[in-house]
Amino acid sequence: MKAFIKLHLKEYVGGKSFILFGILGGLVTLILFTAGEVSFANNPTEEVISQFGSQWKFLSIMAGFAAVVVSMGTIEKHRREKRAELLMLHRLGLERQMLGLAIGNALVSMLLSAVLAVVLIFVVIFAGAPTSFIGFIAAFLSYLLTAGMLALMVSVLNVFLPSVVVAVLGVLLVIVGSFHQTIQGMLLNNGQLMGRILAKVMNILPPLDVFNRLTRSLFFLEFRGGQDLIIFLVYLWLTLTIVFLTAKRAGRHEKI
Amino acid sequence: MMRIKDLSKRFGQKEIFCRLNLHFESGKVFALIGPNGAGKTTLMRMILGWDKDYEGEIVCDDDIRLGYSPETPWFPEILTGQEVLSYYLEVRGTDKKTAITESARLMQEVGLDLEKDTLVKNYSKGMRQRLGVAQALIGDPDLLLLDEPSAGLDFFGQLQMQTLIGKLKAQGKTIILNSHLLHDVEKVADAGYLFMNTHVFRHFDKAEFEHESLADMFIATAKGARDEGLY
Repeated sequence: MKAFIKLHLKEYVGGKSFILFGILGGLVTLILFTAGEVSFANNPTEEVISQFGSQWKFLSIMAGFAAVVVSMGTIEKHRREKRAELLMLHRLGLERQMLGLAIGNALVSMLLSAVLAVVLIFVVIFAGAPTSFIGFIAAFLSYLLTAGMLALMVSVLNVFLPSVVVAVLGVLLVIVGSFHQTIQGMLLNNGQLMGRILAKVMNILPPLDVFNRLTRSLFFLEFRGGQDLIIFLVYLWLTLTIVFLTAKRAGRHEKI
Repeated sequence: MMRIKDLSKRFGQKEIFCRLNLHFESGKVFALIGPNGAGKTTLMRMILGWDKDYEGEIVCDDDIRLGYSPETPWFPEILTGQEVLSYYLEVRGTDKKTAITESARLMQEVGLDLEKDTLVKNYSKGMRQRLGVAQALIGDPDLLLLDEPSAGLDFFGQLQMQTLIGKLKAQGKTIILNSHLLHDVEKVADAGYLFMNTHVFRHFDKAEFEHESLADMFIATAKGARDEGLY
């Protein structure tokens, strides 16, 4: 499976997309830092915190979209190009192919997310930020894992749905997920039965805003309670289970 | 080497094979010829185990190794010819060093050694087909299934493919060739099967080519079948 994933990375991690995402991430970082004409020297702490918080929020949303774009059509393409059969002949079963594609998508999304945050990393290192090395690494890891998790979810969707539908669902997943608590709050405040039902149904969507809050709390060394971390780990475990079961199904039905 | 017993296959209402019996002896080149939709590729897929929805039996020798080259093989465009073979070798679990040596040998085997470092996207159709055969040779198969290896090739490409098949036959490989190119089949096949439809089917062997061309045999079979209302 190593060679299979390596080829997947080689195919999807092109120089152009890296440069594009690097520039995009850099622009967002710089715009957010300069938008309020804030200088670090005489800036109140709250504003710096708010600025870094916005950085993580925007970068997470962009990383989410990147994960959708990367993963929305890979399985359909694999099927269309009839790659599966020759690979089966060379002893790579469908279960491992499905796992390889999902893992490959997650890795590509995480790499692109890392590239998106390159300028932010420079700012953290050279301009200073209210964090520590451990805090930054933990935050960065949760940011990357969120993108990887989204890529896994979108990959599973592409097993059952065409890429156009997956693209729409993926974008909705990112938008609704990024404002999960706000939307859920609005629905609950509505007071009507339908609102309460929809608020419950929303729980199946990953609360990206909670994951982002976890990232920020790790970054700002404010990580106290483990609730956000538990929610994050539960969704991660659920996602991995679904990917694993989908791969098993592909192997059993001999069809991706 | 392989025997197909009472094989029946349907696609919905359409019957493809009805109690088909075929026999493939080792070390020979067999051709499957017939019009589009006669079920030649389907038969190959059944032999490969990719289509299990049939009645009857496909009985092979124990531990038979299969190689397959599809009609339009897909290869990663970002890789060179040799890298493609190394990729499939590594997928099978071969270590990187051995994969490089073995892929170089296979490129030479199919006459692509001078193009081993060329990206597949720059390969001609003939080169792709030969790379497909090289891919099928991975793992030293006993039985090679070649689906339309000369389709879409120019005359020179067809000659190169004929030479390659002849070379593989000389090495003792058993080859099942699915082809529309009758002159191609006459050059390389020892025997074969002509499929017209479920009811019209015949075996032929090399000795018959000396008296009657495959094209004439094909026409005569079709005509006879039409007279009997079977085709």
